[in-house]
Amino acid sequence: MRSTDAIEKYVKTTTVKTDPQVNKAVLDDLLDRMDRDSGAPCTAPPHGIRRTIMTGKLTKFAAAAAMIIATIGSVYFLNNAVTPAYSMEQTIQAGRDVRYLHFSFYASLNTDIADKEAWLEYDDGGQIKNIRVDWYNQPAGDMTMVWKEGRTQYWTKKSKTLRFFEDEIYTEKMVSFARRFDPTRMVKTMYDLEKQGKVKVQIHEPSDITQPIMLTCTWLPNTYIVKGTSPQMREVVHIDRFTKLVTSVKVYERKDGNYEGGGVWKYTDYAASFKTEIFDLDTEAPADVKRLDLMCLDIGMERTDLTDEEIAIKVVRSFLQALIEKNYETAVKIYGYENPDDREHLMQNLEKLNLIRIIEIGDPVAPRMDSRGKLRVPCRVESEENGQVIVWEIENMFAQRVIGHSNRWHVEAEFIR
Amino acid sequence: MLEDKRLVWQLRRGSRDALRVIYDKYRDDLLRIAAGLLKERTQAEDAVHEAFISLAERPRDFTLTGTLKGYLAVCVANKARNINRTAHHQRIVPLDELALPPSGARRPDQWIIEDEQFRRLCDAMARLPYEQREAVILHLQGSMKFRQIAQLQDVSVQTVQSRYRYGLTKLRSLLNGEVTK
Repeated sequence: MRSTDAIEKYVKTTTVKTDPQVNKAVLDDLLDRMDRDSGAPCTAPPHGIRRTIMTGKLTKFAAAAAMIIATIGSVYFLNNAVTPAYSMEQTIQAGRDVRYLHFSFYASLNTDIADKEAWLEYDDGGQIKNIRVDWYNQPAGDMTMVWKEGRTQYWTKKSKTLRFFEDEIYTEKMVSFARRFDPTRMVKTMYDLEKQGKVKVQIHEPSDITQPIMLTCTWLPNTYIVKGTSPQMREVVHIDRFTKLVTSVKVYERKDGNYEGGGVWKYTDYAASFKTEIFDLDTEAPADVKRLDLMCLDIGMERTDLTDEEIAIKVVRSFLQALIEKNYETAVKIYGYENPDDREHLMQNLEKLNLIRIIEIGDPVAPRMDSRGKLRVPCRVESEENGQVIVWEIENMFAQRVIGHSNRWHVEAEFIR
Repeated sequence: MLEDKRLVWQLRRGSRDALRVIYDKYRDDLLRIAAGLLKERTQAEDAVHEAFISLAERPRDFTLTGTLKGYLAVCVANKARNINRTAHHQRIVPLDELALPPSGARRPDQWIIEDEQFRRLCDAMARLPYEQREAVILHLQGSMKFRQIAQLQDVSVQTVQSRYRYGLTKLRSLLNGEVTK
């Protein structure tokens, strides 16, 4: 065992170097921010020049001639301009006063059937006030989620269930969703990232004024999503010629050297306000839809100051121990449920498991393709079946956070012998 | 210390050179702190960038009470806490991840050029409880006093010292064999 001094020295002396290119980009951004703050002084034209010109006959004539030539030249230049007149700042400016956004997502460039549809409402200060997202044709059926003042309403139409909960995680996700697909913010992000050299944006302003302005933003591999890997992506943003607002965003993915369409967002109704009812699913859902207030449930176990891995093991061990002790009240509480009507039925199922002993609980691992932050906790137990003791490896034993109760964890399991 | 005071004085008067010197002087140290407190390189990039933004925006209003490095280290630590809180939350939500491309692009592979020793240290650090990790990193890499860390963590100095000791002990066992006497 090494001494504490050696560890202190090791931690102190371990160094890391940053990438010079990125350092430059960051420093440029910092200096740019500093300049913006300092408000560079206006450069006033030199005094007296106009007065000097306009007092002499010859200079007055020469000035008039110069102005005529300049005017003719300007008209000619404007008519034959090659440089795009459009700039992204125009879209950023045009979107500042937008209070209502309504858009739909189509999974293919060649379909009229929307996968999802969203409505966003901002308050007068530009803060997100209400969000609604409808998912269509999903494997689990159509779903609608509304976020309003920190409270989430989640209606799964196939199962006829409407859940209510206040969960900071869902709030974060809904707000992130809204921000991500706020087209003004999207263009602003592109604008900022291009200045930092992180993406490439090309502006195409067709000479045919009936055609939209197009911004093509190309993302390097593994940069399109914050976490995880991603191929090289391309977004083509269509801008309305007159309002300068975004009308659609087409998303492409690079495969085998070609860009393939991955979907399109279409923005409509910039000016139209929404009825407040669309953000109230309790009124909208029929009477036979079961209402569940998840905030009223007392399920799971307190996380205290444990790490994710530690609490995952603790809830799984406590759950299994409760089953062994035939304490089904505790077991069902740790297992958790959304609908109190399911509690009795769940307890009856747990009673059938007949666990005798925990043999082993392994290290928790994050399952692949999971976005819920749950951890799989492999475990081996002994159970009794038809008078015989058998060793049972429970593959699908998970631990995860209780929705609406950020400091509580519960288990989720499938018991397949 | 005196040099930092001079730099801050110049910065408050709008000196771009002062900002450049401060950035060059502390960026590597701050990145080391951020990388130890956070799980991902991109997050470390964000934390360091934002710490310096607090200097670049409104430099005239900037006042320094302690050391400049300490101030920046606290900025990084606060940002790291926020990122960790948000990252933890984001992992859990099942809200249609496919519909949620990110709000910004990062270049994680190009930020930190790390060596093997640094990677091993980060791996070991990641296994400490967050408060212990923060106490160890801010004291040893951020040169912050326990009193300052106690203020940041809103606990007593004794608690920070305990967290530091526990953290070092665990690091010692995790890094055993990696560290030469």
